[in-house]
Amino acid sequence: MFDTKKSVLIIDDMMMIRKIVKKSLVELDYKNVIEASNGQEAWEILEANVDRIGLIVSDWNMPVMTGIDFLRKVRTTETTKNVPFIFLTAEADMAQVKLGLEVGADNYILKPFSPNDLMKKIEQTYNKIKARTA
Amino acid sequence: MSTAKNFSLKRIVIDLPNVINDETMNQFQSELQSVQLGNQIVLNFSQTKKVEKSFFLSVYNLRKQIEQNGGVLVSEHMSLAVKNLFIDAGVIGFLNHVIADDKLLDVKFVQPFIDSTINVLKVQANVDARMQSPVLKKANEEFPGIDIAGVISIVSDSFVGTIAICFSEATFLKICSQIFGEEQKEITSEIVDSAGEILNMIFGGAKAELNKTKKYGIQTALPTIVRGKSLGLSQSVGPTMVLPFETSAGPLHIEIEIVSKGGKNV
Repeated sequence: MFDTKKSVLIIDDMMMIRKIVKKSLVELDYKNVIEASNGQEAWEILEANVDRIGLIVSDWNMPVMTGIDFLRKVRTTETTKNVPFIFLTAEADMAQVKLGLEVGADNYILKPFSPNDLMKKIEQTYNKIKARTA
Repeated sequence: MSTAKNFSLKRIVIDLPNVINDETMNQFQSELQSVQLGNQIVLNFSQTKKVEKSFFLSVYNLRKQIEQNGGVLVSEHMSLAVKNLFIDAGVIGFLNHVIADDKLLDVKFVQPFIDSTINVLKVQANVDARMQSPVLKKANEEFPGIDIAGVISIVSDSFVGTIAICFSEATFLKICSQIFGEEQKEITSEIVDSAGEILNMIFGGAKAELNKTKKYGIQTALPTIVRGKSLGLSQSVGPTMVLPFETSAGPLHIEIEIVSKGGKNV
């Protein structure tokens, strides 16, 4: 189960998404939420707070550094490679979903989404990780 | 439990014959008896080569009846020759409410955008939306009542274009109030990008469907936001399909313009 003392890192260039994800997470008792507006900004936050981040929820299409490039960096760096990672994106193409999972995303949420969708995907992600590491 | 009305329209296709004359018109009228007019009624002209004048009046009356019942009339696969018959008879005005040609900008192209708009507004904002009759906007013509718009460039293997979602300030604020769960009284920097993100979701859903079913190869693109009091959005190349929606948060519309990569309007 998610350690609620840890933070969730939300990355999206659109403030609307950051706000609604944050609101949903706080309602779900995830009190510590950190926001970033692109992959580069998120990487700097992650590097400086690697022990504090318990979950990453990231958009795919962003300026400066995209979500997939950010995920590659996370998964190829020793200190960050095991941080749970969920894509939250409007890209419903199956090829893209497949690519995200191949590169190492743990789960995928398609926009539009409800708070219930978000909660289910987070639970599903932790169950998957638990089963994998058991 | 929500008491909001379900606004999604069922698509009912009526295949028209090769020649529309008095005899086939009777057949057409009797087929209409069994159709519920409060839906999206699609007249399929793919087989039609010739149309008698009496049909024009029927189309006009049908459109009126459908709109009174809360439905939408569209046509598809109409050849240029048949379209010219409407023009020659001086009743091209009837086609303002009909999708009039059989190329890219027909109902099969725009339907995924319509479905995606209804879905995004419902899931993300709990707003019910219902499409009104689509209209064609000429090059450089402006559609009134826009205070904020999200715009995305469409790039595919064979065509380019733009899609825009256009809101009045009142509609935009009501939709944002629904999204954020608190009343929004003005368009602040905190909510302004919602115009782009709503469009991004609509575009993402429609793009996936069109790439899957039509293999268009539409590419990913980032939205931009245009804002100002009573904005005018005008596309320079050619006709633009305007899809007006009535929603539980007020009216809004989508504008789609597509041209082939050679620059010719399609």
